[in-house]
Amino acid sequence: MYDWDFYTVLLSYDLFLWGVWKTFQYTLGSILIGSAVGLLACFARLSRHAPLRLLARSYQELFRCTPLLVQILWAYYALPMILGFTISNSTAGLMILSLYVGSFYAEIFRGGILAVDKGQTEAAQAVGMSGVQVMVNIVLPQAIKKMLPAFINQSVIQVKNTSLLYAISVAELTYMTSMVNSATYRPLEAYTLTAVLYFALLFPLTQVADHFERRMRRSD
Amino acid sequence: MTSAPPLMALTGLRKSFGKLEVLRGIDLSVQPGEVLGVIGPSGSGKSTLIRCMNMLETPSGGTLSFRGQPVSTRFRTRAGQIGVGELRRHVGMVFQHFNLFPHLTVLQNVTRGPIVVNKEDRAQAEGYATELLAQVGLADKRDAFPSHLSGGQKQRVAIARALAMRPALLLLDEVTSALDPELVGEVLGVIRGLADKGMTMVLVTHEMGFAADVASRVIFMESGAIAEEGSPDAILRNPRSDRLRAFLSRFHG
Ligand SMILES: Nc1ncnc2c1ncn2[C@@H]1O[C@H](COP(=O)(O)OP(=O)(O)O)[C@@H](O)[C@H]1O
Ligand SMILES: [Mg+2]
Repeated sequence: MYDWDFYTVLLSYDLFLWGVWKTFQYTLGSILIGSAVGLLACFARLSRHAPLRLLARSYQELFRCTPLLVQILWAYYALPMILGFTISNSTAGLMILSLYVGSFYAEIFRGGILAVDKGQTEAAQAVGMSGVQVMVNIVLPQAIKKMLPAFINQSVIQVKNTSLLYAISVAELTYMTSMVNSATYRPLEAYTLTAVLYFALLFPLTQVADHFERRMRRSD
Repeated sequence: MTSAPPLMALTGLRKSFGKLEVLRGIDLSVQPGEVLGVIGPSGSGKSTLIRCMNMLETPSGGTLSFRGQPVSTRFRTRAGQIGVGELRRHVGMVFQHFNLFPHLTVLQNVTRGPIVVNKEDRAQAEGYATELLAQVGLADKRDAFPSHLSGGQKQRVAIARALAMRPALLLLDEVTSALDPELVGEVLGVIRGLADKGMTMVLVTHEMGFAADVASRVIFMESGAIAEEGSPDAILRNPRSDRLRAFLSRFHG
């Protein structure tokens, strides 16, 4: 029988808490920046100007078709060689996480907007609304409802993706766990505890996403 | 015809979708106070015509003018050319499939345009909207959402929404075609009321009896052109061409 010893590991509770706090910060930060980037890319994709569409499309495919871990390593180790100056691991990490999730958000936003019936736009135009007024008053409120489940799901994945920052020593939860592990030699307890922490963070979120999805299917 | 300046005039108006020529040079004017009936077989270009009148479709050729001024393709009015935005503030539209805003209440559906576009204050917009909802018989539904309304009720809200902008011209495109037969009457009743009050309207319809009743003039469209034009009596009761006769015979039991 393995002799479980969570006590030793839990003595480092402050390291775990710090890790959770950092994971939360990187998640929230990248979701906020990613939403802004995603919204811009989404409108660029929907724009009338072909070069703008191409630019947004290229950005999306670049980030969707390469592994996030490679992007993180590239930004931290390779990009400085091009730029001629170093960037901190936290800056590189936040930047890549944001751009990565933004490329997926752009697609989610675009899908939500395109899912709004064309008759809605026409009815709003017919009372004299401008393009921006139609978007703000009529299309976006309906699009947000349609895209909410997919947005939450992508954000859940984003929480898990912050763990890849471990590779460039950003002090998020996974990295902190490895610190606890090397101090205590208790990998089973340390990594089990971390898994439980991630689960506790994410399970409520997936429930919220399911709730919205059910409610949406009922209202259609 | 009267000699008063027309409210809206189309000259040589054309519209193509790719290679398909849908409107082949339409000359038409709408006088203040008249109800213009538009009839014709499916695919003859009635919807395209009426959608050009508020620039939901951009004409491929010819001119559209409103109150004597040419309408530009730009949204803003400038240099003697009426912008699309200003045109639409004065020209309301009611759609076959209602297109009510599902995330807004009945009252909000009606007030959103006046508040956002005309910058009316909320109280004033709600006051007038309440009046209009009473006029279409839906005062008690003001806080309901569209999904809780019948088709006939939805279309009456859509009419109130268009009227809330105090339009000079109202465009109606087969507004009863999507309704169950027993709900058609309540919507036609509202339109008849508007006609009695002197509202200028362009009415695309398959309700020949109704057109004969409320229209002051009727055009018969065929293959993207006006094939016949005249009083309801002349067009609907004494058609000259064989094609119009054949078309009308499909609407008589
Ligand atoms: N957006 C569009 N793109 C391509 N073809 C269209 C479009 N809108 C209408 N049409 C075509 O134009 C013709 C006239 O259509 P429409 O104006 O809707 O006729 P009606 O209202 O008299 O039935 C039809 O052949 C239709 O298929
Ligand atoms: Mg039609």
